[in-house]
Amino acid sequence: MDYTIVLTAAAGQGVETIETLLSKAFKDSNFFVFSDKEYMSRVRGGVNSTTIRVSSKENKGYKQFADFLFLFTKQALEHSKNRISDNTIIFGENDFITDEYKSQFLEVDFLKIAKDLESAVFANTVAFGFISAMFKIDTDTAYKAIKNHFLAPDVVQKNITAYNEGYKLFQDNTYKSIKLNIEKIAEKRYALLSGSQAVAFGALSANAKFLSFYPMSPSTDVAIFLAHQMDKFDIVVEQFEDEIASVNAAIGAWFGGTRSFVTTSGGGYALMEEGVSLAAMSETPLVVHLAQRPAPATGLPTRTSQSDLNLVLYSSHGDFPRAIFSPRNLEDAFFVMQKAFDIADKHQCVSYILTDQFFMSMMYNVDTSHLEFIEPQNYIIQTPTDYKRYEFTKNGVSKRGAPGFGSGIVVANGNEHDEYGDITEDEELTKLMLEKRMQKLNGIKSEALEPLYIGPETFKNLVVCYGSLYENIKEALELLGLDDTGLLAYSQLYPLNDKGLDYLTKAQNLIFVEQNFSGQFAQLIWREYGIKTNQLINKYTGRQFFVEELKERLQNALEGK
Amino acid sequence: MSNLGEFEPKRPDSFDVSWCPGCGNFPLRDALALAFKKLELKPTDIAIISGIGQAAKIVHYINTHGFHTLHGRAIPIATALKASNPELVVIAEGGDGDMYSEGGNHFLHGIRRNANITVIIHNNQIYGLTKGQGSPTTMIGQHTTTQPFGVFEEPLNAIALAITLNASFVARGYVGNIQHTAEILAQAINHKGFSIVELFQPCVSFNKVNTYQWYSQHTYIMQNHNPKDKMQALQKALENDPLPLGIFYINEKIPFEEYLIAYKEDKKPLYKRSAQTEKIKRFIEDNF
Repeated sequence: MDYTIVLTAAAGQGVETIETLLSKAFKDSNFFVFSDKEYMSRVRGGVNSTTIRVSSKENKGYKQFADFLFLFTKQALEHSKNRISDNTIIFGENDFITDEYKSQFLEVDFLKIAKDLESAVFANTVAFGFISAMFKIDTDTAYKAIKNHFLAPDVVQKNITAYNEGYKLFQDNTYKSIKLNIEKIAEKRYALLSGSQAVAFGALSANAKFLSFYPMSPSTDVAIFLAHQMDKFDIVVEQFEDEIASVNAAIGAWFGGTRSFVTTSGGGYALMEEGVSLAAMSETPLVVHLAQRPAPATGLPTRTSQSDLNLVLYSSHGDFPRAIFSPRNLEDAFFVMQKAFDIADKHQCVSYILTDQFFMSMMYNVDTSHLEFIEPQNYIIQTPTDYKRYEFTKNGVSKRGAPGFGSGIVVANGNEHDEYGDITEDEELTKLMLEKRMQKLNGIKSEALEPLYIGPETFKNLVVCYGSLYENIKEALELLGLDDTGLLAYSQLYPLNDKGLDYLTKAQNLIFVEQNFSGQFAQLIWREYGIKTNQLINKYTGRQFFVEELKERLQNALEGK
Repeated sequence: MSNLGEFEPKRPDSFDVSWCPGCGNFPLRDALALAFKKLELKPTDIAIISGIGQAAKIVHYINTHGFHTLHGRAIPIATALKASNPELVVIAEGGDGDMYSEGGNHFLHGIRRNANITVIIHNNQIYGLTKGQGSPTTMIGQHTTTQPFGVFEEPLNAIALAITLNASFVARGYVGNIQHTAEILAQAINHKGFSIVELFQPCVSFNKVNTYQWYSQHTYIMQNHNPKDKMQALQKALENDPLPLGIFYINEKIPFEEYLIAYKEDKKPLYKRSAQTEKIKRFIEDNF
């Protein structure tokens, strides 16, 4: 079983409620559920869509063609035309459809039922009841989802009534031709997590105790989620006056010995660059989560992109070491967050985690046995008297003390400094201190994450990707079923683990897939290894590549079209 | 030798003080060390976060923990340090350009956030380190390197501004009077909340208008002033010549860190707390 449902509505129509209720009910009914959404940067109106894929296996790909398309507004059909195949069944009110699609259309009027029940606001729950009936979701499971979502008993009761009406509606003769092949997934301990939650839980697990931020789509959900956990976990979440204050606050917390991070997007990060250079010079660790969106300037606030690799790679003044990660999926985000914190803390450097809007709003069942916990190490020492914050060492890493812990005095400095942290302009020291900082890059590189290779032992074509494109490309390649093509998926983009080089050099045909204009990762590989990509498959419309789209683009690329 | 006692740093590069002979930063530093002594603080109890400028170099010339950061950014760094370790006495320090110009936004929001830190503004009404450009507090008509035809912008009245924002503690001193300055600083550090202390501190090299003599003639110490009276405080703050010195305004309120749930039951600094791995595992399994 593998069905894709697309719900298309105006902002403010509350499709998010259906998504939440359905995802939870599907998960609790032992189906594998994946969902994501694309939405406009406005509070009311416009047209947005949510995709929910329900399967009996772990399908994490973002499918283009809907099995069931639900239209909630007249503009929805035009908006979601690219999601319709010959097999799509379209639901909606009669005047939402055009003649072209009449043959695959079934009328359904959730709004009328809701209004008969007293208020239009129940239309979503009616729809939830209708879809639940299609998928034979157990009533108690659905009720539980409603109770957990609406909380207040009278509101819950009204929604249960609405749900029942929707459920009943599906029994109508109009829909009797719809017969689904219902098949459950093998029972496991699954947790339904979103991208932002995976990032947030990764940070919590890394012992992050301080998050400073300024709201910016699509990165804010991480902060919203963690702010709501302040009463459950030891974490301070504070919204600062701007991104400049946010990054400096994170540095201040790290200076105090506390693991901290910022969550932002490209434009916000642009303001943080100065702070990043302070972290670098003062060798204060720093972790930056950057959820990408199309740019420059305001760009498209609620759309997706992979165009900020160059920004973080080259940002801030001066030479300094850094680590850049981009998780492939939710399990990987959970792990990579912890890794990023460990690297930042251990090597006293800046770690970046690049996600994107698609990744942030992605949700699926995560097999909790695949959530890998790294025991957070303590890198803070109790300082001795005559402590030297920047003592020269072989690997460039000096022991880090925190003010108030030990008998030593801790002096950190954004000016060039001597081993104690005092300002110096000594020529020899200037050279040695810069070399000390850059020396740390070797240590960071020595534990860089290996890229993941999937494919035959010997191959002709190699597809290279990173971050949120991984699951979609993997599924596209599975659909193509090629025995001469492999996939190399990176989750650490800098410094690179040279094991990837074995694959890159073996390929006769190298294809990079990226969600940006210039092929920023392909450029980085060229810069690092002198290996040029043969083809670049890219998309920069602010929308994520679909599985089907990738399949076609890859096929064309492999056939040399 | 100075009178800093245990606050005299002994590090090799801390002896080569780059302040000009006669600089107002010297008596300011003496007053600060005196305030620490009055409060019986040890060097390891205190962390000074400074911005950029001659004032900000103080972390190298006084024996406390220090972080010499970026222009204008001392306040957010100090705020987060205090929030992550409330056991520390945290001071943010910088000049008038640092705190009022580059860091103006942080100054405003620092007052709103009200972390229990002390903000010391070395106000010499000029940019010293970069050699004599006008600052947000340079007086109208003064000729500077970058305003050769005279400054025409209205100088910033940070004291009045802070009072209108309901700041927790607002004071002004003049480093020519070390005892009075030390008394204000000690009260500010002791005060629970965001304490602002603006200190007139002559720049002997680049401000030929606001000299020691000028400050002596144009300032006076307020007598019988009630710092709990906001309107009286504001009235005093708006006085231009002579300029009042002393504690203008005290507004007792709960500081930022005390609102933080992380400290409701556990007072330990955050860095001393370990990861809550088991709790996270359970939370995910029970709720998602």
